[in-house]
Amino acid sequence: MRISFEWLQELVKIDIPIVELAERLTMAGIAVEEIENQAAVYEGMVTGRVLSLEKHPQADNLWVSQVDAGSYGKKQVITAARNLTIGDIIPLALPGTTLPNGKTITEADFKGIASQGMMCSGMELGLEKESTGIWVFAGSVEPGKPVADVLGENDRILVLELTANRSDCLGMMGVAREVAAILDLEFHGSPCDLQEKGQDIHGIAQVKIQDPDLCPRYAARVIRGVKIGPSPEWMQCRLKAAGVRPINNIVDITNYVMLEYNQPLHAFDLDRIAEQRIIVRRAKSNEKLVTLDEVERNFTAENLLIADPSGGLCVAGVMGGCTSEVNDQTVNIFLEAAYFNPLSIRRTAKLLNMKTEASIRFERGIDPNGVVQALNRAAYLMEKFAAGEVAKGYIDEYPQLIAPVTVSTTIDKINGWLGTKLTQPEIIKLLKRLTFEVAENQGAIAVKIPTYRRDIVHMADLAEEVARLHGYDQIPATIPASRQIGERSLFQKMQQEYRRLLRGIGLSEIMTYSLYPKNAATRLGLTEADRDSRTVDLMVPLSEEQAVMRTNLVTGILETLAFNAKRRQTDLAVYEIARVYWPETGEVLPEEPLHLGIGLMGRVQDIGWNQNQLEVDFYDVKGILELIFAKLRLPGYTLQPSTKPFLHPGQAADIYMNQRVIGFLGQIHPKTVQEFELGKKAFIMELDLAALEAIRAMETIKFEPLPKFPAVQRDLALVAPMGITAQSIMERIKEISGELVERVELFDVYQGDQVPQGMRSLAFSISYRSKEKTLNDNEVNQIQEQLLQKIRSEYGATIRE
Amino acid sequence: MKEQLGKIKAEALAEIGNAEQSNTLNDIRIKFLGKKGVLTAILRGMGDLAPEERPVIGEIVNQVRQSIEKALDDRGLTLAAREQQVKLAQETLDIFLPGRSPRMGHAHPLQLVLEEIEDIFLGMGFTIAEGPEVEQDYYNFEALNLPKDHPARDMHDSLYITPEVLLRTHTSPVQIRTMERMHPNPIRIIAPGRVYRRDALDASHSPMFLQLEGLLVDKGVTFGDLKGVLTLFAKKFYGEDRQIRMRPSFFPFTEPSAEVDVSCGCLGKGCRVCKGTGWIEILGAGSVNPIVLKMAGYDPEEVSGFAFGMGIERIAMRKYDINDIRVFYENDQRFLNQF
Ligand SMILES: [Zn+2]
Repeated sequence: MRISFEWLQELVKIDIPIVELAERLTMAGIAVEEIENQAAVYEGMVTGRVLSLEKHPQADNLWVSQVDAGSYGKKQVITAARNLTIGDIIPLALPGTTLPNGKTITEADFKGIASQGMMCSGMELGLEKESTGIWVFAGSVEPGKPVADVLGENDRILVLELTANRSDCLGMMGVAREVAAILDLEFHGSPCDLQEKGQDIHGIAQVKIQDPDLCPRYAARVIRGVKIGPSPEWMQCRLKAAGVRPINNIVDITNYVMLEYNQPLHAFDLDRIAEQRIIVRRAKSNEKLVTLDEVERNFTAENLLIADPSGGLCVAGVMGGCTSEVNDQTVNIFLEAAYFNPLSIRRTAKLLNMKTEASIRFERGIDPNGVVQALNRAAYLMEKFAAGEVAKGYIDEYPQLIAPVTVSTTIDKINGWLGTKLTQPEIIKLLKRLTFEVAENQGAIAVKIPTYRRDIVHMADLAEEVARLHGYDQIPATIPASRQIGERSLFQKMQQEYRRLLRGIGLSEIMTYSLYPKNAATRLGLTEADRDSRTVDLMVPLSEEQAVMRTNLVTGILETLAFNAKRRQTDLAVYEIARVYWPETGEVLPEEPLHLGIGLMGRVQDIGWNQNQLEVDFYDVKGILELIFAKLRLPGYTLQPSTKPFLHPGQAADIYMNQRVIGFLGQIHPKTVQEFELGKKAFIMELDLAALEAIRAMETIKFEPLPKFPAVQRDLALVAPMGITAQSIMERIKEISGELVERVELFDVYQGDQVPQGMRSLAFSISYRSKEKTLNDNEVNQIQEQLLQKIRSEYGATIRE
Repeated sequence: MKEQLGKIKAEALAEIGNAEQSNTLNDIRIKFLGKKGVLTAILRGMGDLAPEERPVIGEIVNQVRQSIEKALDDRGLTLAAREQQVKLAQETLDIFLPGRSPRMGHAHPLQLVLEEIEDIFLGMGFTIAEGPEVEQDYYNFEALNLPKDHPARDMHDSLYITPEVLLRTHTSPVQIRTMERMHPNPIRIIAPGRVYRRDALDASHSPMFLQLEGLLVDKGVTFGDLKGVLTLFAKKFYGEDRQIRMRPSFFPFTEPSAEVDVSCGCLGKGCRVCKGTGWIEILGAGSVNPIVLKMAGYDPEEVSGFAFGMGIERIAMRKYDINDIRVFYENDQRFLNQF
């Protein structure tokens, strides 16, 4: 909302500077975004009288003009314009002036003749879109006057950023009332002593409300014999200050009163209303109407129309129609002031995609009991500035009375809500400043809320009014005692542990969007049948890039690797902890498990003169998985070869826990590497952290006493068929030898010339130790012999010598 | 015999004195003291001596042996020390070359800021609540006093999945869910998480961003308590010399409502960050609207509460002087490495 300071001062005598006013308003909830100074644009421009015009001796297309700039003296100005005659009053930009287009005027030399300023065109003043010459002021204007004064552009505008609840401040009266309340000043209305003449309106026109739920109130006046012409200059200035384009006196008056009273008005040409009968009704299904913007529009029973017996005239509260609009020939006016159902207007405006000054006000809710005041004010102005004759009386159909509400509460409750210790007189005084009627009875108050403040329905709303007028800065700051310890949940602590662990081993955290393209699964080579292809989809996507909720973290990680690879950063180790979204739950809402994703690429170590140049491989990513399970003391998992299409078929595993897949890891398939333009091998892992949460019990660390007896180390080199995993042999060794085996480690894997086809050599180091005694060689040999026999028979493995 | 021994001793000591390497000493030891050594040979030849001479010569042999052994040991220590010195000198490195650092992992700046803020509120007795990002219209809007067609919904241009399900536009639905679960008991939570708006991606807008909201419900909670908690937060997060300022505002779910500013680091002098005003807007807050309390199952006559919410990106942008929101989600290594 743009508030003319000049206009505002007419309604309330403000005794503080505008900057302070802006500050006070902002701190009371009416945020002033900026203060516009209209005259600032014309700074340095004065009026000048053209005294002479002579051809420039050196240039055919230039004129040398002597200009009388009043108290600024006589100026010699060079111009190329051809529209000037001696005696014209023109705008002169003196040296040092910066034009609205950013150009700064200096004293310049034009082929030997000095120019002490510049004559401006209408375009340069921002008065017209295109100019053919210098702007010439009409009428008698003194030379040497500031151009801003002559144009009437010396108002200052308060640009308000209103909150949704303060629709009352969409009108000057509302703002003035608010200013008066905040500054504790008197507020004056505007004059409205109209002279009714002639026939009573009820004999001229009729109004019938067919749908009172959408139109609780409809009032009208008739003004006859108007003369269409321009509205007075001061009115035009105020309209322009508010950002409304002046049209003619009738339209301008309706707009002016709308700005003043926050009551949209509509002027019909009375003689173009069939039978002078207005019917307020719902549109018929598929009813058509050509609106003022000359578009034929379709309506439904959700939309309210203002009609006459022959059909629709106007989209109620939103936009007029072509058939009954005021035009240059209009003589008699039917002036409408109504209160429409805000929701209906909002829906209609949305349906038609038309946001007008009127619809914005109706949908936020205007004052249903201010309708007639605004109507009278507009009729008065038409009488005064359009030579109209106001017919006697007015129509006021008000089938659904909207009465002021009364909020009852106590002084203690208001103080209790705010944490203040205001006295009863203090609170009542503040509420009265808002023009609320207050009745009190021993600490209890009943506050009657005017219908222009329908946002106030509850004690808390009153408390807010008290707080903002009293000043938020006056409310003491206190700290409420806590009854609980603030701490993270077990799962939240686990997440912190994951982050610390991964950062500690050199991975950096990334964050990527939860939304991705519909084809994300296809890019990974997944088929329709795959769970990852079934997504939570936006009804109206933001863009193709952000159309569905992701089902995995792989795409985000690969995009991150690709983004960096394109910038020649190919040694990468990243992780993301974020949710994925699975729609198939049978519930209203999808499942949103928290996942961990890891991406590795390039060298294991940062580049350096003495650094290891090794590139990451499958075992780096697998090692991270092992570390996570060990560090978070999670129970065991198993791996199965994975067939995920975006993973290398020979270097991919699904991670299982209790027969359930909880993740996968592996090398990215070369096809996918190409699809994402990674340019390099990459490795990935994704783990369902939510699944791990359930599994991890409140594990406490129990210290195991250090061993008292020495361990005996034995190596065991087996040649085993390829299909047998080292993991299973290690587990079997522990099973067979029981407690005496302290540790089994795989220290060598070999396949090739020395080993038969289809076999590989696995070398284990076994550490035997007893808690009761020192084991001797014989005992260990015996155990190892037993072990060998079993392994040999169970796995078809042999000893490698 | 005596003379011979004297000669042997002199010869041995001379050789020892001339030895320049530890292994030469060993050769000398073998030559003089070994099984086939010179001194052993003399002992063997003692059988030829008269019985009364034997102890005398034996004594001399022993003395010679001891002298040689001592000389060998002394010389050995000297040489070992010298050799170690040489070896250490050879091992000299260019201590000015860069070291071999293990790769360092970096935290994401948004996570850093989030955890810093979380820790401040944990310290004030808050716990961390979470809830769905794909949310029902009821929890995101209606239960927050934002019925369908409410004009204030315009502020939240939303991304819908179905007419009744959408991507949450704020983490407030977590507050409602917590209240439904907890009433009539007191609540003290913060709710961080991802939220979504229909905003095209540019330098200052992102369709997805992080928010952190707080909710406190208890008997006798006041608007002044909100002010106290937020002041404490601002001082912890921004510095002890900072103040907060509350400006009246409007949110359908709080009453009274406030926009909260923190005083700028320029201490009111005015700078680029605060655009000359001395204040920086950091969050929105207010006392929980009684309508909201009631819908969630509380009796607003019995309890009251306050809520606040802040955008993590905006706070992080100011903290680290980042002027483009997009960098948070691009994850450029050069960006991440700075945190
Ligand atoms: Zn500053």
